[in-house]
Amino acid sequence: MIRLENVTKEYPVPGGRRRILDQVSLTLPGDRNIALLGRNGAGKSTLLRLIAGTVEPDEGRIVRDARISWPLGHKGGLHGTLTGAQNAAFVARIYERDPAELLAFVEDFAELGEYIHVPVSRYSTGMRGRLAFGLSMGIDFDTYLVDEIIGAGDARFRAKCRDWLRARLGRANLIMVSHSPNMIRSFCNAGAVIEDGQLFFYEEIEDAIASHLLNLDLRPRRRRQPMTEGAA
Amino acid sequence: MSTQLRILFALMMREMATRFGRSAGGFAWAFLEPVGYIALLSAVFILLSRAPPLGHSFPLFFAAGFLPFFVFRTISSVTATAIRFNQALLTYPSVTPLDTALARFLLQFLTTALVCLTILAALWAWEGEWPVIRPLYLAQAFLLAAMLGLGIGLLNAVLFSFSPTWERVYSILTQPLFIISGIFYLADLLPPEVRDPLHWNPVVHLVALMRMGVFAAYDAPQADPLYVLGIAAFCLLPGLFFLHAWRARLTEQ
Repeated sequence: MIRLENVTKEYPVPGGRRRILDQVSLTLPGDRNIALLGRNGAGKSTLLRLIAGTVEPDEGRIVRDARISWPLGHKGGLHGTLTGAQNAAFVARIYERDPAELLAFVEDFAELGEYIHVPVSRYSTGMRGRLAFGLSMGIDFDTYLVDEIIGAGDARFRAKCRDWLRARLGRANLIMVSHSPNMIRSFCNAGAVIEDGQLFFYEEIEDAIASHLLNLDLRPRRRRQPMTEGAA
Repeated sequence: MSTQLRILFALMMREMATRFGRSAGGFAWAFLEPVGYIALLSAVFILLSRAPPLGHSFPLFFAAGFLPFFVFRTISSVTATAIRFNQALLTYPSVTPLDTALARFLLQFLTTALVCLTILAALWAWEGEWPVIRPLYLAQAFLLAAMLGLGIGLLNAVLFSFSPTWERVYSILTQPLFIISGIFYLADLLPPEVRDPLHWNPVVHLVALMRMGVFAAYDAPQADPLYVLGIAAFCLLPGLFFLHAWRARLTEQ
C-alpha cells in the first residue's frame, strides 16, 4: 500500500514551473497492478520516482508499507566503473541480501557470461538492461515500479523478462507507466490517471483507460487551441 | 541508523573496489604520492642546506610538513566529488548524496591515517633511535586536518553541484596552498609582515601543530587549534545542512 497525503510537487519546465500534483491525497492498494496514465508531461515518471522515494514531495508526505523497487526503465542504477558482479554486490548490500546469492542469480538470469566481470561502462545498452532487470528480479520486492520498459535485449530476452515479471506478480504487485494499451491490459488490473495536478484511482483498468482517452479527447493542449477561441 | 550504516558500508566497499581493487598499484599509490613528495623535497633541500630547521632528518621534517596538508587536501577533494562519482547509485532510494560523501570521507580518513602512521614509523625506524614525540599533538593535528577536509569537502560537494564555475575558481585559488602552508619552511620564522597574513591559512596551523607533535622541543605560539576547528565547523554545518535539505535536487541532477 502506498498512501499519498496532501502531496504537492512541482518541477521546472522552460519558462516556469509545472505543478504535477496539487495537494493530492490518495491510497494505491498493495494488492493491485496499477497502470499510471496521463498525457505527455503530466508527470507520470515523476510520480513513479516520488513513489520510489528518489524524488521528494514539495509538500505533504508519502507513506509506504512495502518494499518498493527502484524505477525500472531506461536508466538503471548501474555504476560504470564497477563490474557487473561489483554492482550486484552493492545492490545486495543495500537491500540486505547475500551478495554471493544475488550474484549467482543474476549471472544465471542476465546471461552475460564472462562480461559479468567487466566494467559496466563497456556493456552495450542491452547488456546493461539485462543486468539491471536481473538485479531487480533477484531482490524480492513487494512492489515493482516500471517506467515504460519491461526487460531489455533481444525479443527472446524481453519475453523472458515479461514471463518472470508475470510470475512474480503472484506475490508482488506492480505500478507501471506505459503508453502501450496491450502492455497495460496484459499486466494491470487497475489504473490511476494523472491530469491537471489531480490523481484519480480506478478499480477497473478499462475505466482508467476510458477516462484517460476522454482527457486526451476533451482537453487538447492549450497551445493547439485557436487564438480566437475567446472571441468566438 | 542500522540502515544508514549498511549503506555507508556498501558505498565504502564500492569505493574500495574501484580505487584499490583493480590492481595492486591502487593501494600502493596512496603511499607513493606522499613518499614521492617527501623524497623530492628532501633531495632538493639536502643540496641547499646542511640541516633542516628542526631535528636532523630532512625526510622527517618534510613528512611532518607534508602529511597534514596531504590529509586535508585528499579528504576535501574526495568528499567534494563524491556525488558526481556516485550519481548512478543515487537511483536507489535509500542512497543519499550525504551517504556518498560520508562513505568517501571515512575511507579516505582510514587510508590517510594508515599512510601517516606507516610513513612516520618508517622514518623513526630509519633514524634508529626512540623518537621524542607528543602523541596527543600528532593525533590532534591529524583529526583537525581530517575535520577541515570534511568541512570544506561537504560544502564544496554542494557548491560544485550547482556551480561548475566555483569548482574551477576553487581549484585555481588552492593551487598555491603547497607554497603558502609552511610545508618546507617554518612559517613562524618569517618576518611578521609575511608571517601574520600567512596565518589566515588554516593549513599553516595544521602543519605547525603536526610539528609540535613530531618535535617535542618545538613550540609554535601562533598555532591555534580552535581557529582550525572554527573554520571546519563554519563550512561543515552549512555543508551538512544543504546536503540534507537539497538531497532531492542533488539526486535529480
